[in-house]
Amino acid sequence: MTRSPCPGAVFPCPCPCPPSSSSLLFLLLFLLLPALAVAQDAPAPPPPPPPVAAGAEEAGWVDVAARAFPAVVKVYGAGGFQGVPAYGTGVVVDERGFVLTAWSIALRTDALRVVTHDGRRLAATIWRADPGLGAALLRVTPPADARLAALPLGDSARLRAGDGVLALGNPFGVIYGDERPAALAGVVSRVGPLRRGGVDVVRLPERLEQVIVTDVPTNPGMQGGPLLARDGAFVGLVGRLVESRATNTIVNYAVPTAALAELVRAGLAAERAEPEPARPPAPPPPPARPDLGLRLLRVHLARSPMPYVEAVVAGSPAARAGLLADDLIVRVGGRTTRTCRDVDEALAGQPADATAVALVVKRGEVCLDLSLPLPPPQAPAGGGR
Amino acid sequence: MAQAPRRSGPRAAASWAHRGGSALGAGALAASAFAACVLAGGVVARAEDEPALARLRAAEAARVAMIARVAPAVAAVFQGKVAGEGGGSGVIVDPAGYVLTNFHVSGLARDLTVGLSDGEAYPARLLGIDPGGDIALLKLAPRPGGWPFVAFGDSDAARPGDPVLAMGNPFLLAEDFSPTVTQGVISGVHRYRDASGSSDLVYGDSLQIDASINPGNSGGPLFDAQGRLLGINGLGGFRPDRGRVNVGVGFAASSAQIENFLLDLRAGRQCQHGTMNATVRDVERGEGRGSELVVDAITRDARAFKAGLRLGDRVRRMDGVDVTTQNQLLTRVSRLPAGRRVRLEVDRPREDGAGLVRVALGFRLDPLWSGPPSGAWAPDAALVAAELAAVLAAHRARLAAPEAGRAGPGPEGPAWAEEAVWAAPGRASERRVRRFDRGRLRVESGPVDAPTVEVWDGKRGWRLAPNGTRAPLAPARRDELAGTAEALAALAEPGGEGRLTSLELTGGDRVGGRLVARLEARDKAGRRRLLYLDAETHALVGLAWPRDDGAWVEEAWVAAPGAGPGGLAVERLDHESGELLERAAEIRLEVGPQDPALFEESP
Repeated sequence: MTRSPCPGAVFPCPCPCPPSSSSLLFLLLFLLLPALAVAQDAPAPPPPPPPVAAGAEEAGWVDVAARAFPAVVKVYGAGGFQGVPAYGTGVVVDERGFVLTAWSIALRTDALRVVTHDGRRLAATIWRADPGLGAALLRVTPPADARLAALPLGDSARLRAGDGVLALGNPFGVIYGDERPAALAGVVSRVGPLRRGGVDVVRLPERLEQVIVTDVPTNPGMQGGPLLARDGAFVGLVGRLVESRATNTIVNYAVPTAALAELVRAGLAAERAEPEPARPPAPPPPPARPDLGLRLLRVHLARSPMPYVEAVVAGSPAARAGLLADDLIVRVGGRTTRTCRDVDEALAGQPADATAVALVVKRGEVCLDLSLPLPPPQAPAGGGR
Repeated sequence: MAQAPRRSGPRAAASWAHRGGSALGAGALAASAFAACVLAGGVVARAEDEPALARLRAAEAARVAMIARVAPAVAAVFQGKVAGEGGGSGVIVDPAGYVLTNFHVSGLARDLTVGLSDGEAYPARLLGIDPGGDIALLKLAPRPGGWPFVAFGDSDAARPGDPVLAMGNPFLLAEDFSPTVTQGVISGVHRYRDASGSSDLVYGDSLQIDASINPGNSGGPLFDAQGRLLGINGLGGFRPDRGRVNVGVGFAASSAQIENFLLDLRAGRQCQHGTMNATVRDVERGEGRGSELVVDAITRDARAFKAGLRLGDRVRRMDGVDVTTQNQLLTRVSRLPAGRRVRLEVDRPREDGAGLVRVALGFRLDPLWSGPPSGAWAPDAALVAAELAAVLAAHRARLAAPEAGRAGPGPEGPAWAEEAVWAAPGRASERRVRRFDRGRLRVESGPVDAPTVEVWDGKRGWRLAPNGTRAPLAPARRDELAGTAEALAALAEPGGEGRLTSLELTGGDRVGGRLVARLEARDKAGRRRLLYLDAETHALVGLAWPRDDGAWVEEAWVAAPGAGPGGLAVERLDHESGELLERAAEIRLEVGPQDPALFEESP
């Protein structure tokens, strides 16, 4: 049961035109195009029609999902407060490292990360943000040993109410690592403006004129994922829910890719004009203290266990402090320690120039105040611990 | 899933190739259609629609027919003897009347009521529970002609985007128990949903679906497009701000997981899921280089620890399949019952720091305790006895069939002879003939012209050396032959269980790659044997016995293409670790009575 990442080898070309073998459906779509061409006042002949996936109703969504998976990433920012999820979804729109996602305040963090389809975690920065459109373009450095798969913007203008669509994303943050994003199917309910006046609509980006309304539930985490048409074209960027407080209704929407084209174009053009921002060199690792000789009873449970002392190394600072096996460490330097991890953190957090830290330990039924000497930190030597 | 990308390869390639061939023709057609469209407006499109519409209608008709076919097996499940308040859904998976539902639907209620789409309510009894996996197995009383049922599908073959149907009784809408159908797609496979909040339920290997799952759907079936069972719907994603209704994120326990537990459920057990009693962490190999799976905690009394798993080991493969993330390992482990044997391959940092060394280890999983406290569950003795009787009857019916012994993978029946050449690592191979006839067993080892012969005649055992000296069998060897002879005789002969002190169905296992029922026999001298019957065919495919050092040996007949007559091999394994002790690939089997003189002390 290998969770193989989506087969890049099978679909080597992230081509906007997916395969087709159905000339009939091909034709059907073609027939719709003249009307569009007129509406757009385009004198040129209609663009080549996107072929429709082979026997779409039989093949279903499997191929559409499989083709798009490699370009879909999980996005992790800062959040988890006031209903703003820290996790979301994004789409690689250019293999040089551009990720389109839904705008969220959660993106504003130095710890912004994306996780690619094969489980690689990449640091990301906001390259271009357009909160008014509800979208942001992130920048990542592609991994040295693998190519990013990209899913370019498709043509959203041909979407009609009733068209089948598939959304990919990470609802409720249930997916991580190289797990495939969730695929949820539905139909386009409407393409057009959402009425803002007179009702108290929240969460709808202010400059968004046209939206794709769908019946695909956009739970937290789906935002920023692609909305795919039957032929696999990337036609919308899933947004967060829109709520009307007046009618107590919730609407799921996606931003049509037509509205995002300029953001992406400008972002990619800037890439050519501006040199890649240099990365600051990694700070040297902090000097580590020598072993204190304190061995805690690290029973391995889901939760870090209570900090009982299992053993004390003879002659070590812990021994000099008077610590004994079976002592329970309840305080380190004024911090209450409920778990082994608390003790580790409290000791690690002592200032470098501290020469001792006060401990409170429970031994049997009594509590004792001890002082644990802290030898000065030493620069890390190769291989030492 | 390991095969899914491979399967899609040729198909995708074919699709690309086809596209090249058809593009020209399509272009020409498109041009003429374009002209027609300009002349006649959109109306002309209707004619072109027909084939697509016809396909759509055919697909719809097939779906409607499929629903009609499976609906009689879909159940509404209520606790208690009347169809009252509360309750959920279920599905019948066997004509004998086994009903799968959620444990959170059945609870510990002994008596339940199952409503079917014929509008009737039928009494059912609770047979076994899997609280961790949120599954319960109910049993309907047998009825002439059998119950309507659905077959298991292959949840491991499910792909995101595959169409699925959920059926059940959401909000208890159907007074007449006719199931509600909701349609959707597979959203994800091999999802691990941890126990959260007050819930013990771990959806260890689940399918994520976007078909509507609402309160009352719990325990109902998830079907693939052919109407095969892919899972049991149980966990809905609900959001407080939308009320307690579907939000398009639901989870179903996978059929692959349920099948692993089915025999434990039939044995009346409170099933426990497996755990390695170790935790692993995805450790970054470096920026953008992915992660690896490192053991960062392990309890010292874990069977995995005893088998040699250590802190810092990098887990690479489990049961022959690559695992690279916590999720993969969690789903693969938690879909197995406690006591199931697994094989891990790990890379371990060498002591001298020079790279990693690959280590393989095998062990049985520890229980991940969940559900009602020990003692709250006691199986229904009469039901469990009936299960054992059904398994024995199926095995013996198979022996009585004319093709017995030929279709079966191992020597079985009241009398047979088996000749095989056994080989073990670091040892010369040895020819052995085993003859069995109604509780008597004779083993010849060594060359044809000068064999060592050991006999158990049902009462006494002796050993005849090649030089003609005769001696009583050593006690340990006598117990080995006698225990096996008694257990095999008890299994094969109608009423044979009377030879034993006890014979119990204790659950399921996987032996020689097959799911099996495990019977535990104890004879009148206290000797114990495990007997493994194939879950589908009820053929004997293996047995296990304790050595005098306390470790158990497992003997399994395995399908081995190219292994000689019948493509069969026999393997002896360490029961705990699965380590191969010895193997015989060239087997000759003969079924039928043996010469009585062979079992007599003075020929």
